[in-house]
Amino acid sequence: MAEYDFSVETIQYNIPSDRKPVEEFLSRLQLSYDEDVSLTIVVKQGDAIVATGSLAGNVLKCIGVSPEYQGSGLTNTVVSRLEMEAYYRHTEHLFLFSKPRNEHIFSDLGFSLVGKYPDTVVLLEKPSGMFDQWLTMLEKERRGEQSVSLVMNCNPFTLGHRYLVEKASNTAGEKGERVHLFVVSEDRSLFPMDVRFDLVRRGTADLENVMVHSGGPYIISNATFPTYFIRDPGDAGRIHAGLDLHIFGGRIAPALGINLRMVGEEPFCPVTRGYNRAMAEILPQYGVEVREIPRLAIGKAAVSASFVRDLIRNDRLEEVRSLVPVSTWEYLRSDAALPVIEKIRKEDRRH
Amino acid sequence: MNLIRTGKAGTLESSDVMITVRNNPANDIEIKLKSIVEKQFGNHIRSFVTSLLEQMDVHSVIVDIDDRSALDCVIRARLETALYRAAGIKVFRWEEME
Repeated sequence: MAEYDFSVETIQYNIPSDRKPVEEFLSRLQLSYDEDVSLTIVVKQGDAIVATGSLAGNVLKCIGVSPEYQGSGLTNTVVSRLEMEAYYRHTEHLFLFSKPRNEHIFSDLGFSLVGKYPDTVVLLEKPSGMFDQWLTMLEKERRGEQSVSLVMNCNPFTLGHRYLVEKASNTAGEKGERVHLFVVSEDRSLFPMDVRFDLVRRGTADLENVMVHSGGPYIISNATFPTYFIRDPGDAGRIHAGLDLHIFGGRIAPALGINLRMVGEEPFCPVTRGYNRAMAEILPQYGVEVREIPRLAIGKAAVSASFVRDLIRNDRLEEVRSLVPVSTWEYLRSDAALPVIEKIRKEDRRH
Repeated sequence: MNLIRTGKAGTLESSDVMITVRNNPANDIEIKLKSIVEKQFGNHIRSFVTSLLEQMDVHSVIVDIDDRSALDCVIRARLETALYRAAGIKVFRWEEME
């Protein structure tokens, strides 16, 4: 490619004068330049951008090649560079967003399909086959033909969550089935992943038919649902919610025989409400019934993790006691919780 | 050679190869090859890589090879670099590699 004299450079994605040309280039290709990128590279000929790609954590996205140069291997240049940059940042399991019609380009480069939102977006991963490996591991927890599932962030685990898990446990128990409870494992919430997971484990230990799993990178993660963690994602939020649910319905539910997903009603958060709405639309296509359960109310208010965080933020920790299981309360009173409580007081985050 | 993390080297450019190596929980050698010359050279690449692994005393590894028609000397260089990175070796004993 020496005759074309391409140069590859990293741009300052957070500086508007660097950002704007990339934004314009991508918009000519009907692609958007996402807010959450942490690295962007451009391939230039002279001063003109001819290709670009970005990294958002472990996800390769916003990859585009100018139409005149398609077929000249610039995608390979971009992906190689992003892959090595990710490697130097110790990110070994990669994901990639693309339009469905470009899937073959990336599968030639060693990426394999995780799932797709038909006609809209595909999610691929590398090393290939990691998702299959993860599903095989899950399948070992399968008992019988059917089961019930829950997906929760539990930030932190409250009596509201406990109420929902009990409902699921009883519903499944009547038919001798299991409940597969997935805890969102992306570490972008105020309570760290291992704490959230541990509190769910301890808070449900007495319910014999409840299996607690980590959602890994395949359920509400930076890869399947990047906009879950931001406040007002707009249309991208709808697409990501759909992608996440198509992956759940198409691959995860069949592995465990899940035919019912139970979910708490969402009175407050528009992103979660949108997710629930998409769930009712998409999962039945895969033979998974969706059942929305009204929230547990204590006193006048519905119990929610965000309310618990509000109380902590406003120095009303004592009032949390009646809203959480003993195990969560013990944790909140322990020294281990001090840095988390400090963080909650300082930040106002959605999750 | 003991692989303590994932090792990666190479590019996806034409005539190059990107090689990723990681420890294999099954304690075996597994080679996953994707090559644009799979039909012509797939078997050769697999046996070439297997013999290199033996020479370098690597017996538990998953090797992902994304080959863009690299020559043997390139495959060898990329594989060695990936393995050194995976083993955390920063000082190369060049004389031992022949």
